[in-house]
Amino acid sequence: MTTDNKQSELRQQVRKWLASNTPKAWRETMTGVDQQVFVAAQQAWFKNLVAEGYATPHWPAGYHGGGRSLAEQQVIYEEIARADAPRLIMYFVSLYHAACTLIECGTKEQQEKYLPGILNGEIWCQGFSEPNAGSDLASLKTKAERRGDKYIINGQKIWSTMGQYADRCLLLARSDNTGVPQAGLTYLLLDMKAKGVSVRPIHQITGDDEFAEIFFDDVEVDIADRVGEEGQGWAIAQTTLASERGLTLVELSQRMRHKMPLLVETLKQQGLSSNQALQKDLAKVIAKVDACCAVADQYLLKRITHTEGVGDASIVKLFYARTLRDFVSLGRDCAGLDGQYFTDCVRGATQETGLWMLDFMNSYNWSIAGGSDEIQRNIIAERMLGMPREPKQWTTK
Amino acid sequence: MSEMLNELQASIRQVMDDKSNGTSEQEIWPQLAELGWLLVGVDEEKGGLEQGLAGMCLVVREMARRVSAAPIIPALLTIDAIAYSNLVSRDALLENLMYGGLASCSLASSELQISDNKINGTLTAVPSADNASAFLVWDKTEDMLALVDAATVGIEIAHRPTWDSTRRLFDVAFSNVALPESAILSRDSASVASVLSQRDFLIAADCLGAAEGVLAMTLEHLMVREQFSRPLAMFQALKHRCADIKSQIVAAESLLMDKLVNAEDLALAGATVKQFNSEVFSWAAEDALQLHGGVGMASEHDCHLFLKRAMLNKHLGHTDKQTTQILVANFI
Repeated sequence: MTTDNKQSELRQQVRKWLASNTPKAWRETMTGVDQQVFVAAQQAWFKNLVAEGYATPHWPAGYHGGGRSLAEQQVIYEEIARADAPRLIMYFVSLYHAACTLIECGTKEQQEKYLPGILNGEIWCQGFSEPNAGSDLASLKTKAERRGDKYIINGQKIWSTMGQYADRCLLLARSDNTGVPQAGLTYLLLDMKAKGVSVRPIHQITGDDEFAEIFFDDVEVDIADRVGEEGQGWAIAQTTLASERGLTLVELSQRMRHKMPLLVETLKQQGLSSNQALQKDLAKVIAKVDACCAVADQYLLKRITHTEGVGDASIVKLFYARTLRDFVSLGRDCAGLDGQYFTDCVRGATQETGLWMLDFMNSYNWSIAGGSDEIQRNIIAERMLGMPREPKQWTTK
Repeated sequence: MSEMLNELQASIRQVMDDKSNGTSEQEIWPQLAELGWLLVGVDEEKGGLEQGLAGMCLVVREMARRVSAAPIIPALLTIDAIAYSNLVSRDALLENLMYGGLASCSLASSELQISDNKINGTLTAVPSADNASAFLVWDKTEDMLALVDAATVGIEIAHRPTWDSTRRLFDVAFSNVALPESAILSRDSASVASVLSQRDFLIAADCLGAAEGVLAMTLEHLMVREQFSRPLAMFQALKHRCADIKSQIVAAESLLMDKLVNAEDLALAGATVKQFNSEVFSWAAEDALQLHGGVGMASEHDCHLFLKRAMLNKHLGHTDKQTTQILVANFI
């Protein structure tokens, strides 16, 4: 069978499965509810996807659901976007960051200890960012002090997605203060139920609470739960961050494209379909969303053919974030005063609900998280265009 | 991209890298004809490279990096229309055009009336009409396509200087010009629609190449020029704008590549890529002038060549207003 046939067969399979398995009216049932309801819904959707093998197509052959090519994974994500199925927000770190880091950099013992748990629904969170180490991640200060065969952890992490429900944490901590900042980092697997861990959810401007702060007060981590050697944390964190390989942005761009009719709906509701000024903006957004999907697709094609260049991923992320902002801002403008009346938060909404203020606020997730637009621009300017870095020295007069 | 297109791209770059921005038609035309760039879209059996619209876009894009003054867009469109026609004189015409003759066509909307085998009206935005031996024309209702000999009685051309000095546009007036049956390529609106969508693709490719050119020029300026004891390129406020231009250019390229391969509706695809790429080019050229500072306002610097071409490109092919209508009508 040719690759194309195999993929279109997979597409039909996934499409059919999603048609009967996608939770019905899930946005409605996630509106104005307690977070526990959302967590239960994520657990159920996760179990269903895992059982079918659609949660782990990126795992290597031999693992449950694994061994799918990047092109096949793309098909699965395109279909999930097309079906407007919920995103597995609560399990993203488990399925991608944790699993891929363990598979690529973990010991056999670590893989055996943790991978089955991931498939059973254990939730992992990421402990990378800190209040003063976001864009400048390497400057992080959370301490990992070696005592015998344990590390003692003290410090604070922030912006851990669903950290308040996490069972385990991928922790990047400082084991050494000498040398360049990147060199003194160690990568640890931390039990969130351990003594000395406390978590505080962050209440967002949308009414949701998808992120948390984590505080560590003399938390013990066994040396067997270190990934790689002491001081190799930075390199391993790069593996973690590279694990989703462009698929998320393919999915997100497609979600946006499929939800473009929401703009027409809003225009019609507001009696603005023939407003020329808005039509001009609409045409720009139509073309831009089209371009955004093309950018993500062309990038994935580069990954598939191994022709990816430095900075390519930054362009995809930056362009998506800007396009999304244009899309939701136009919706917000079209909705007029009606769009300004308060609506209950939709948990796990994604940014295409047609509740445009909610979508507009959620769009900031993509221009700030995972490397802000400004960081992406630095990468593009310095590594693609060859523009010089700013001097590192800074003194007050 | 195919192996052949990669090779072609490399060879065009090699030639164009040595040219100055806005290289004149006289300088580049004999060379590009000799190198076979005009044959890019034509079938192999007719002596071409058989690279279709993707190949035509590539040639236009690469030449636009240097805002070349050659009328490559109308030339390629006309050659393609003739090559796939049933004109009796087809092979002789092709022979002449593929090796350096020129037939041109309008880059704007047609206002021509064709009835009783007579053509009346005026075509605007016809590049290099003074060098053209024939014109590809269609009527206002876009359902008839013909090739008219430029020497036919009743045709008058008038040069219309534009701010964009990299193009020489003409009005071509037709008064009771005879249209013999043998000059008609098609009485089919689909044929005209095909020319118009190809034209949108080629102008979009022009926008992409010229945007790449203006960014490269801007980067060069920022790397060399110093203020406050450091290169301008070190200032984050300027770097981020260059990064934005770069990401827009990659988007324009991705969209063009995607539409060349995946378009279901060529007319809609052409309008989409024209709309987006001309927006990207004009934005890049506008910001480039600001990033150049004062020297960008000096005519001795080439920055203005790009800006003026960008402003003109918005109004060539389907204009901004028309693409907006096409996109919105399809959507609502």
